[in-house]
Amino acid sequence: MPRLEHTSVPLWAVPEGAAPAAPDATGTSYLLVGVGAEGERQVTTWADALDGAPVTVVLAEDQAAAGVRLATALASARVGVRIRVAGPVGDCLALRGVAVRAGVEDDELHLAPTSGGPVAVQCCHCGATTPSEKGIDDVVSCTGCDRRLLVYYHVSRRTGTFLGFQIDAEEAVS
Amino acid sequence: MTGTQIELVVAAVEESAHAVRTVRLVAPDGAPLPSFVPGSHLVVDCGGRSNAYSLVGESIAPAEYAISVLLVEDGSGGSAWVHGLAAGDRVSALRPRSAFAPIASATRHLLVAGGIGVTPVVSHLRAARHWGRDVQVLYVFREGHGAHVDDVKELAGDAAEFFGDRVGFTERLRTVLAEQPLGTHVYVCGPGAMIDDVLEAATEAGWPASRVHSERFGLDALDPGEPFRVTLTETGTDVEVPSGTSLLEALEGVGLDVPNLCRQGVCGECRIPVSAGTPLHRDLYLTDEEKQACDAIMPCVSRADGPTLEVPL
Repeated sequence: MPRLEHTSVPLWAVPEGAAPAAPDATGTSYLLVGVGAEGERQVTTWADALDGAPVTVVLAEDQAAAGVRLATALASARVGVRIRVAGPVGDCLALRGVAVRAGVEDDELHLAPTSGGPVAVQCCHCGATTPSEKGIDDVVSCTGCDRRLLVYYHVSRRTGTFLGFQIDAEEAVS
Repeated sequence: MTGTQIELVVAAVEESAHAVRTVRLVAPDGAPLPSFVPGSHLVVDCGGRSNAYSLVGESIAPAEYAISVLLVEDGSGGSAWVHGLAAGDRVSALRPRSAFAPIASATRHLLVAGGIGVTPVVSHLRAARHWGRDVQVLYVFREGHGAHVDDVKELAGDAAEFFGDRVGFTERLRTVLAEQPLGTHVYVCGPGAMIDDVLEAATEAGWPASRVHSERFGLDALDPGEPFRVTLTETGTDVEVPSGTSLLEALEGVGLDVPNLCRQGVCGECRIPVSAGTPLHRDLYLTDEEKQACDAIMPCVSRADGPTLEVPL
């Protein structure tokens, strides 16, 4: 496996990866997104430190609800905003996808995973997405087509899913 | 040679604004010229010295390359040479090069022009019309010195605003920067001081670096810079580079033959590697990524950010 910084996998998205750098505080407004109880705690910490600047807070129990509300908030956002997301790592990846699709640039977006947990693996054969606790180079069973998928060191910026492909795809069928 | 040399013929010259001439260049056989990315410039051989001029015409298989050149009275002669051109004259240039392109992922483009810095903006606007892009233009110029005002009006319509004074422009700029929807990128071209003001206003309005794009052309003379010492690791010598002497001149002074062409940070010909020390980049050739890598320098204009620099020559 190559060094992860040369791949599309963010270092904060893997176990033993680097902790994210301190969030950028040069914005004129902030959009803080927390998923789950730990995400909410992180958002509260951020909001307290951002004394003075306009802050919009989105708190949700799950990534799907957070994604809908994040997309709504971004649709009316103005340049100058900074977005920070705290939640389980798979949710951070998915919500990064929501932000990227809305036109958020990397230097406007801060992601702070509060825990590990499942990431989504997308099957390149049938397109189904399988939640998995496993990581890169592990094998998961696709919920769509039952193929044994190798979790590859590639993450989609748009969907936040890891690429999975059939582990023995290149072996000849006898 | 960094780019491919092309030979062109002057088809027409017109006085397009006070002290500004638009020169239309065509291929000698009249064939379409190579397409270019909007915002590109042409490095023109101005009788022995190379100057870069933004292309103001259509960019897809164009019949002509049009440049608009402001006569710089106390300049080093490049613009005066262009102003001396007449129909039928031969001009040699390098193929267009892109250093100020529209960002493909942007959903809206805020174009800010000062004086003759409007030239790449005109190119952006032609592409924006072609592709139906959302644009807004702020153009500030001295009364009577506005080049391409009619083009901007025609291409941008109500989305263009014109300013004759710095104060009104700055005030409006601050308002406009604060109200851009997410997805907007800002592009600024003009005199150095004006670019600095716009960059500062953008930073104050919370714009991240990724959304801000600027192009500086040789309208301002570079300052003489601080003295520094360069260590040549291959030859094993140290060379002092005094204030007011370029690194290129210093290297030539000790007998090193560094290929060069424009001697003003535009053409890319004199690029040399850097093995230690931090370069103070002042060129228009290296990309932002290349500049941050600190492993190459254009010695004709760039210097050391610190007392020493080491190059493997």
